[in-house]
Amino acid sequence: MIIDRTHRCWMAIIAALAAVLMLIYAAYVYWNPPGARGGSPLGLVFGFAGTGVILFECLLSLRKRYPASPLGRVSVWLRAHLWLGLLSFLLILMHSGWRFGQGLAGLLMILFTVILVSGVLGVVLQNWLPRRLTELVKRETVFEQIPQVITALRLDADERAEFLTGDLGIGELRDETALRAGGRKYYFDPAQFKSAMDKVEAERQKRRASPQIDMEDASSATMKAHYLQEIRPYLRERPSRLGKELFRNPAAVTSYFHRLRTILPPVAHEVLFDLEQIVEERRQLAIQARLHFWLHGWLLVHVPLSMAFLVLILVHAVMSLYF
Amino acid sequence: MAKEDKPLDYQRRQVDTKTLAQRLVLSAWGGGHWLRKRKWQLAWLLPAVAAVASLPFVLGVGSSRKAFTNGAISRPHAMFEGRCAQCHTLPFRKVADSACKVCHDGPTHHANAIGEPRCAACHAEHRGVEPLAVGNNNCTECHANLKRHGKEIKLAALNVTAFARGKHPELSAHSQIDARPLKLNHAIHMPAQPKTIRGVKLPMKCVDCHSMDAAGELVPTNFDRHCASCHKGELGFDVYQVLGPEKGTAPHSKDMAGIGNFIRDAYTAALALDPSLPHRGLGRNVEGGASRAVWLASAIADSTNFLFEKKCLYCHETETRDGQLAVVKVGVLSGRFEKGRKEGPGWAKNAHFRHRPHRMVQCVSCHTQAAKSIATSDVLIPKMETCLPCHGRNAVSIDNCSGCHYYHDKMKETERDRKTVPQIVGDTN
Repeated sequence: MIIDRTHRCWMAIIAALAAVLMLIYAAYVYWNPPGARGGSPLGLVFGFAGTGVILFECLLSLRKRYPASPLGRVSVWLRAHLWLGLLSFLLILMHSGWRFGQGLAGLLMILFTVILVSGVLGVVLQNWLPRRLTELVKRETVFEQIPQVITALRLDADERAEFLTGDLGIGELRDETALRAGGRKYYFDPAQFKSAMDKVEAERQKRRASPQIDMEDASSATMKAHYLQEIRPYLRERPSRLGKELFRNPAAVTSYFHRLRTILPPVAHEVLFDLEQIVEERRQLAIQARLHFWLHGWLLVHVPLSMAFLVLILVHAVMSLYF
Repeated sequence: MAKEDKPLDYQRRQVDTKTLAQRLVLSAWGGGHWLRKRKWQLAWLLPAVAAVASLPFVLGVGSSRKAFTNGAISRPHAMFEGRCAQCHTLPFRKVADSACKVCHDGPTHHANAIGEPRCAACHAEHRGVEPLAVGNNNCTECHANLKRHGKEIKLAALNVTAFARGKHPELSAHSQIDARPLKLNHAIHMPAQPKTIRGVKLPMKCVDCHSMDAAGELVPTNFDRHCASCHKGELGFDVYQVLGPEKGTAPHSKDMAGIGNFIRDAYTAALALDPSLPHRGLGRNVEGGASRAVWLASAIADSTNFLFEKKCLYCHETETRDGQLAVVKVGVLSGRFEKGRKEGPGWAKNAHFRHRPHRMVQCVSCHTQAAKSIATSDVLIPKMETCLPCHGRNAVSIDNCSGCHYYHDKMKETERDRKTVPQIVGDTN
């Protein structure tokens, strides 16, 4: 969620509410000697109000599950989630008399603090990382499809390398209903495109039989060695450590392939340019995966802890009222 | 060249929006990423763990219910830790006063107070190990507007909000006079210029007369302990210089008959030792050579009159009691004098003061008029102004109302039956 000028209204309302609550709290403490604690009348009001807001915060997950719900737009819910969440922390602080307490009350305050901090961190990351992602990853893809795209890049790279080396001897099974990255897309419906499948298979057999771009055997062997030992391991879903080091940034990728072009004949340069693109794309996908983890990884803390927090709030409320 | 031998054309890689979109696999769309799956797995697992882990605490296994206290229990109540039901006698109800009164009497503050607060309203538990301190606000809640919180109020100060000028009445002792029938002159004992009288170097120190007990509290001034070393001569009745200073000094006693007996015995013993005494005249009343009986009666009568009519008057006042001259009783030299009472009430009507916590301060810092006082009627208790440099401005413990005032009327407090700890906590094992 991007914090922009549309949040001003929310900010103003929540700030005003917070100020009013603080005034009420200060007046209560002034006129009622022991001050507001969990068990005092105002403390209970703050506690129930804070719990109500927390319950509403947790309803966001449900709202997201039903996108067509008539209960307002998700973007409005998100804004409410953010700003009311901050207000709920203030309410709970006033409920506890600005103390962290001990026992279950202390645990709840710690949990709430962690949840709040993780949420704020999430907002910060969501405002910063997408821009960073746009800067660093030119060929961003759908996050969930990254493994498929990596496979497609690897298969494409294999095909292109085979133009220079012939059979690479890899023997990786190819899912013919899958895609091939790199410019052309073939949907192989065996019922309708049998001839196309046969054509592609024939091309593959020919490519493997002998290098289709004529080079000296030594050059072909050099290319094969570089490809199998350095380039292809980097194109796996979990890239090799050597690959990560070799292709750590765009300059390193350019430098690597520039060196390859100096040792291989010009006829191989077109293939090398394409392999450079594929490796660079793989490097960007690694960045995307990393940034995506940070962009959404905070939810691993925020959501489960919030659910556990709800359970413990229930226990806390019942047992506190019991005593 | 045959078509089969012709090498395959190498086609450069094309990357545009269309091809980027086409490489997505629609069949691999469902299921979501591990991050999302793990998030929801944890979102079910953690609450379940929290619920299961709460069960022993909710059911009160052992002393696990301590987990539900929101603060440490005070030290005096430490024996109740983990035994919540000792005070929380009824579920979903506040702690009842009856739970406190099992051990504490807590006599009422004022019978005419409107709406006596619950014990826990002032003595809040679970706020740390220190004893349950009462905040000033607990007092000012009513004393800031006494008219509203009491009926038939006799106090002059109806709006006390703090220990400060204009917010707290002047200390009442300062406006009173000491009516004790005793002649005491502080100024003579503490002259500005050093001098020596009767072998005693003046000025005296305050502690020479106002000594402290082992607990550091002031003990009432007493003649034998504090005055006799200098003023023993005021008890001398040997008006004819017959007995000498040792035997001619009466005891300092309230028993007038006893003093009379002491004088008679002293002269009788002296006459027994020296039968020639009657040969010595006793002033103008008895000439030398009088009979033993006449001499003895005259000596006793003159000495008694001398003591009671002259010497005692050095400090005391006399009155006629049962047809006889008697010293007016002064009672214990502490607090206010009330005729007929051995020990009067303290000077502070509604407060208590302890000297021990103030022992780091010189006496004259507070009792500034002591060295100038020449009359017994001077009450040397300082004005409130004297206290203000230290009290009432820092909002710390020394500014607490309860530092000087008791809420519960201690005079009405009854001792609770002494119980053993197991009896209190209900442990019969």
